[in-house]
Amino acid sequence: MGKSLASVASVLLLWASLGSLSGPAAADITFPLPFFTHEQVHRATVDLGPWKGYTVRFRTVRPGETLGRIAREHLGSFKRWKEIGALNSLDPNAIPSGTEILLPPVNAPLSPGTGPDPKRPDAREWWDFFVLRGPTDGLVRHRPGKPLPTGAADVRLVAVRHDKTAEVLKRVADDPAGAIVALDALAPTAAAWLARSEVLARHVTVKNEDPVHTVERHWRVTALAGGRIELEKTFERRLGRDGREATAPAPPQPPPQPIGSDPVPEHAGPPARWDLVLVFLALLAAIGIAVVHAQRSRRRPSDPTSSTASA
Amino acid sequence: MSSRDLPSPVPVAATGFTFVFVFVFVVAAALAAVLFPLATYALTLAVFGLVHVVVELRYVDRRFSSRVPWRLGTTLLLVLGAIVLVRLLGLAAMLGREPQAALELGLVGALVLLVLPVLRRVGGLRALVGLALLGLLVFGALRAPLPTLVLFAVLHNLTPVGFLADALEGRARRRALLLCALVFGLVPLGIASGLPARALAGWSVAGFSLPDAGRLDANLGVFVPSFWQGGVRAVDLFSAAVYLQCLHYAVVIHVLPRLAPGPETKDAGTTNAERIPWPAPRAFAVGLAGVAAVSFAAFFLAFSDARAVYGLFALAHAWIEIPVLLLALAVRPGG
Repeated sequence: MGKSLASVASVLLLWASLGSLSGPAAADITFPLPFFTHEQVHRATVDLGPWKGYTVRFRTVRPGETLGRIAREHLGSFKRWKEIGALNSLDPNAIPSGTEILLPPVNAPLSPGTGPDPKRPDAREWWDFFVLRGPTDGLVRHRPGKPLPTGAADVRLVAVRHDKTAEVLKRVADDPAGAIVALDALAPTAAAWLARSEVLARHVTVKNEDPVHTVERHWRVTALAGGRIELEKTFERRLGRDGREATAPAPPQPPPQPIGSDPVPEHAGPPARWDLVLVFLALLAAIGIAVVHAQRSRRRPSDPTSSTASA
Repeated sequence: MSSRDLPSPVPVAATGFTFVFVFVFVVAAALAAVLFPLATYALTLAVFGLVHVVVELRYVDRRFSSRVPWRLGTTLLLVLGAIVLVRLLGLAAMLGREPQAALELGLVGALVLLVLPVLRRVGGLRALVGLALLGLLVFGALRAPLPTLVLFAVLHNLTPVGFLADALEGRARRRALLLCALVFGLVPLGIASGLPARALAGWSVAGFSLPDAGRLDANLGVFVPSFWQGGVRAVDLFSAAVYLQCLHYAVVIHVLPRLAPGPETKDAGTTNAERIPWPAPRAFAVGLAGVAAVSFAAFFLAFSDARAVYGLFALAHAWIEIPVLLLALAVRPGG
C-alpha cells in the first residue's frame, strides 16, 4: 500500500519523527498541547515576544548541565545563559534534569527593550509547523513506517525546520487519517505557542507520491483571549512543482473602519464608501430640518394667551 | 465671588444606595469587558453609542453654550465641519487613512488654538494645559497620527470626569473625583494588567458578539495601537478600554442629564441655557429609545457600515468636547 498515499488527492500533513530526524537534542521541537489555557498562551507570548519573526528551539536539560553550558553549546557564548534563564523564567541554580527549555535564536542576542530585526532575511529561519493528534507517548516514540495512533485526545505541535521539510515528507507514515489534524483547522492552536511570531503553515498536495504543489500560508498572531487565539493570514502563496511561486499572493482584507470616538485601525487602502457618505448626509439633512423646524415652532407663539402673559 | 465659592449647580445627594449601585455596575461592567470584550464593545456601541452622543451633545449645549461667545462658537463649529469633511473624504477613499488622521488631528489642534487666547487670559496652569494638548496633537499629527487617534479614542471615555469636575463643587466634587479616580483609573488599570483575565481564564467567550462584528482581532484597532495589537496585553488593553466605554455611556446617559437640567426645570439656579431646541423630556426619552432601536438594528445588520456612519456623528461630539472642556477650565458658569 505504498500507493495509498497516491490515492489521496490532497494530503495535508506529515509526520516528523523527532529523534530520528535531526540528531541533536535541540533540533526539532515538539510539545504537548492538551488544552491550552489563557495562562499557557500568556506565558508563551511573554516568553517569545522579543524574538518575533525568529525561530526558537527546545532543548531537554540533561543531568549535570548548567544554563551556561547549554548557552555555550547552542548559542556560542557562556554569557548568554541569562537569556535562556529569562526566556524560561528559570532559577539557574535549580534546574531539574529533563526540563524542556526554550532556546533563543543563535543570531539574535536578547537586549532589553529591543527585539531583533525580523526583516533581515539572513536572521530568519523558517520552520514549518504541524499539529498532530494522538497519545503523547505514541507520538514521541513513533517511528516511520508504523501507523500513527488514532483516537486519542492529546494534541501536539511539531515543528520541522524548513529545509528539513522535504525529508520529513518522505517519512510520512501510512495514511494518518485521524491522527494528524488538518492544518487549516489547528493552525491557530499551533500558533498559540509561537504567539507574536509569524507562522508559516504549509500544505503539500501529493499525487503519486510526488508533491504537486505547495500552499504556504503565513499567519500573524493578532490576539489572545481567554484561551483562544486569533490569527490573521498575512499572505498566501502557491508554489509549483519546481518550487516557484505559481500565483500572486492574496492581499489581506482591510478590517472594518472604526470611527468617531472609535478611530481608524492602522490599515491602508479602504474602498470608497459613497453609499455611507450619502446616508450620513441624508441623516444630517434630516436633523438640520428637524432643528430648524423646532426653532421656528419655538419662536412662533402657539397660544396667544400665554404669549401675552409672558410678554 | 470666586469660582470656588460657586454653589453646586444641582443638589447632589449621594446615598449609600448610590454607592452600592455604582459598585454593582462597575463590577458588572468590568466582568463583561474581561469575559466578553468584543460582545460588550459591540452591544454597548450598538445600543448606547448614538444615544450617548445625543445626550452628551445636549449636555454640552445646555451646560457650556452660555460660556462660549457666539463668534468663537461659530468658528469652532466651522472647524468641526471641516473635520467631518475630512472624515467624509476618507470614507470616500479620497484620502488615505494616515493623511486623514493627520489632517483630523491638525484640525483638532486648530480647535485648541482657537480657545488658547481665552486660556491665556486666565493664565497659569490652564494655559499650560492648553499648550500641552496642542503640542500633543501637533506631535501626534506629524509623527504617529493613527496611534494618536486611538489614544484620544480611549481618553474620550474620561471626559465625564471633566464634566463632573466642572459641574460639582465642594465636598460633592471631592467625593465624585475620588470615586472617578477609582472607577475611571484604578479599575481599568487593573483590567489592563491582565490579572482579571488570567483569574477568569476558562470563563471567557472572547469571540461572542454581534453577527457582523467580525473577529476580536479585527476590532482591536479601535482602542489598541497597531504596534501593541500582537502583544500579550492587546486584549487586556482592549478590555480596559471597553470597560471605560461602558462607564462613559453610563455616566453620560444617567448622570449628566441630572447635572444640567433644561429650561423646563423649575428650580431656580439649576436651569441652563441651550442653543439647540431640544425636545421636552418625555419626547426626548421616546426619541432616544427610537434611536437606540434603530441603531441596534443597523449595527446588527451591518456592523462596520453602521459604525462608519455612527463615527461621523460621534467624532463631532468627541472633538468639540476638547475646546469645551478647556473653556470650562477658564470660564465658570456666569463668568
